[in-house]
Amino acid sequence: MNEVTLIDADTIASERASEDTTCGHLLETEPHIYRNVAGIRIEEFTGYLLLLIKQSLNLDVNKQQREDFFSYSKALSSLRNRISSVRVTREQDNFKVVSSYLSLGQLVETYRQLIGGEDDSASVPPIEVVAKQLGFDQLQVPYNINTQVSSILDRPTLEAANIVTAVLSDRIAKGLSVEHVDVKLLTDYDAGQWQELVFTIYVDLDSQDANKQWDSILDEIRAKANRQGNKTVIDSLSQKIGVHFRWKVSNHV
Amino acid sequence: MFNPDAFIDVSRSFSVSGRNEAEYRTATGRALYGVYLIAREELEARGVKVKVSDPTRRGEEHGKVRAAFKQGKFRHDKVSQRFSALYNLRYKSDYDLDATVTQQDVLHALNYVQYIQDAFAKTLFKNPPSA
Repeated sequence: MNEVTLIDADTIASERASEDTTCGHLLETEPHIYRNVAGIRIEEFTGYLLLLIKQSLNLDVNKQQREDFFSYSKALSSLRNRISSVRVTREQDNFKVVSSYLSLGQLVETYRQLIGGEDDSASVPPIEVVAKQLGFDQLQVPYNINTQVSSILDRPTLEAANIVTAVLSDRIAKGLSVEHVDVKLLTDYDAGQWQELVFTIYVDLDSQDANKQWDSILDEIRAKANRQGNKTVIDSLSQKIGVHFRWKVSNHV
Repeated sequence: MFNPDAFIDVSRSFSVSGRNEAEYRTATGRALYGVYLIAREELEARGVKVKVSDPTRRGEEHGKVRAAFKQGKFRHDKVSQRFSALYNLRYKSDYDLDATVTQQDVLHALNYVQYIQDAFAKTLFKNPPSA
């Protein structure tokens, strides 16, 4: 583990903790002042959190720790989006951002403790490695991969997953409106005790078109696997790979 | 004998806007269990041994039902993937307290269920089981 990095992170965290107290005080006493600087402060804060995440990729962290900090990364992206919208919308929404900002302070502290904790040697490959294994480094849409998936990636399953990614990439290149893709390990503990590597594809389509695309992609995946003719890969595709679609749903009363 | 369709009816009744999250979580689980039980009974009636007599191993029936749509006479990739998606939603609804389960999730679950039921009626279980 890189001690220098952790010491640096500690120093930054300590400084930020002091600033947090000041900001919290300002929020109570001078909200109109704080409101004006909230956006800038959060930009600083998110920059700091990103730095921590980036540093942690080089640290020897265990499986659970990695899962946790990628969840934090997701929360961070969400907050960044909110910051962008808040700046051009209602002024009072800044208070919501400030609230998120302060709770993120606690989140960073938890995270800092995690990467400073004991290593149990149950480390998993960094997200970049898993993404590359799955062919996602070439995918032209945003994605989120839970690194737990590496535990199911034996050779046939990886090859089956690559077929899915290849078909998906091709469809995206041909205009399929995919907003983002999540990849995770689905484990059922009490209903059969099985595991699947699940791709959840979020599309900007209505349910009818989404189901048509879903069926069509499943057909193409199966056909591609059959053409390759490797039985163990075909079996893995059936047994261990989930391809799910999510689409736009209009609420109804 | 209880009709599992009633579980799906419960799910539909909870799928409207304005319900609370506990109801949406319940609706997702009932949607899965409704269609799972229908599948289990239909498969068993057609000679696929999916039922387990030992009550302590009842969970294995889920795996057997899923396996029946992954390979063999009743293999159906599209149905299998809708089941997978339902289990995914069910897991989120029953176990993941950090997640937020919404009406959107229930509506997706019911769409998956409808697809499976249509496939049952039109192809997989179109013909009645032979006596």
